[in-house]
Amino acid sequence: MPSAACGCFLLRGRKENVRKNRGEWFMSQRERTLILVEGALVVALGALLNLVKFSGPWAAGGSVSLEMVPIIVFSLRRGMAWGMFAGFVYGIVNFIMGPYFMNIIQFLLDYGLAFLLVGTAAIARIKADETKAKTMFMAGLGTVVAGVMRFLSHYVSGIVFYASNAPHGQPVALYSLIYNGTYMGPSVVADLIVILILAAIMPNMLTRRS
Amino acid sequence: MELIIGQYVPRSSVIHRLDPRAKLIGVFLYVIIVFLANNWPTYALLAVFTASGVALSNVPLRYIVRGLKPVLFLIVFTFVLNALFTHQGPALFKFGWLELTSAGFIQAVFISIRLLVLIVATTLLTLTTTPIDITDGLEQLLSPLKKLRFPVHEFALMMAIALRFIPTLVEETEKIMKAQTARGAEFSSGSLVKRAKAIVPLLVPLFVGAFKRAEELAMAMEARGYRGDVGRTKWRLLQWQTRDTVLLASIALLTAALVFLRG
Repeated sequence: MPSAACGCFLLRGRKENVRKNRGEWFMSQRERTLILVEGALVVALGALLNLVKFSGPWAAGGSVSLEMVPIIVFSLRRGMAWGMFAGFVYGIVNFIMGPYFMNIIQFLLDYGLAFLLVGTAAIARIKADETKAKTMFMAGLGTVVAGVMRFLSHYVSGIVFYASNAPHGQPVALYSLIYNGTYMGPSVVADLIVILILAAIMPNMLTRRS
Repeated sequence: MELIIGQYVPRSSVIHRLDPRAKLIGVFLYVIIVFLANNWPTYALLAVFTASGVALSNVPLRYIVRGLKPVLFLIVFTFVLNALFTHQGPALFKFGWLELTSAGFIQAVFISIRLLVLIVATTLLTLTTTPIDITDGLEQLLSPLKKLRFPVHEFALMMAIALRFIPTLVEETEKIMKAQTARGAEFSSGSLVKRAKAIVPLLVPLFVGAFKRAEELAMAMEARGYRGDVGRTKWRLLQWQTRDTVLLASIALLTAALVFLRG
């Protein structure tokens, strides 16, 4: 008797699980579609902003643009996994719009990993009804983290590039630092200004949906 | 503000007609075997192979050159580095601490050819393949990754929607810019900080518009029965032709020749 009761209990548990999962599946598919499309539009916005280049003394080594802003906003809204996913898609779109291929490792770091890491902006989680100061602080923190992580990826990629294309004994880390720093620095500053203003005037856009 | 989206140059050529999957595999293999070259015959072979690809594509040379512009600085810089800091053999000429050896010069030429060939080959892919074809090709080539739970379908869909909406958003941006300029906004002068600030009145309506559009689009997709990857069919199907096999065979042949000729 005890064993039958036990089996019954297990069966009921399993049935309930199935029902619960199915319910979640419907919910999540609906939400998934929305997040997916939102991510796609954010990627498109990034590509658009990438076309608007800021000219300056860094023009020779990369470009300064606000391309990261939409991915950062999306990451703050939807969390790290989605943010990284959209960042990765953006990287590939970015490659299609202007490829720049030196070797496989450079490609993976500059286009795959670099923009995927912009999703780390999601370490800042802004709750609804947060104070203005905290919203701005968190959004700024996310932006800086995203910028630093993306820079690191480009930095390592630059070291790989010079290590395989410059003679031995050259200060490859320094070259990479100068090359990538001169456009990533101003980019992060520009992104930070824009994100802080956005956080001040429309904080609701940046709060985490879950 | 004149914007060129993507790089695709529509022409009628055999390279354009190749299956995107063949082109993707071909370019992927090509950028690996480029590193096999290490002497004059092998580099010459690569240069000829790449040049014939460009010739077959019917894409005017100025588009290729335009794609090279952003990397010109890097190529020149690595050329100078290699030419001046490879100290092997007798010097061709000396100027203070600078010396140019023939080994250094040859090394510099080789590396420049390698970089040029790599960039021209990948640029040729995007010049002759529409972004949407690249997306389709990628989706099919990456589909084995589904077993590893990588969301290949979602990746391709996100990319396709993004590419579809870039021109729409560009149009919207132009409208907003005109509206803001009419109100006295200035977008293209001042310091970096000033211009970053100036772009906010442009960004806010763009973001609001994009999120609204996402909601509408998601609802429209749901209404049409979109339920993810499962059971989805395609309107346009990719078809593998003889010419695609020929491309891959020629890459295989090139690999064999490079292995044979390299020193």
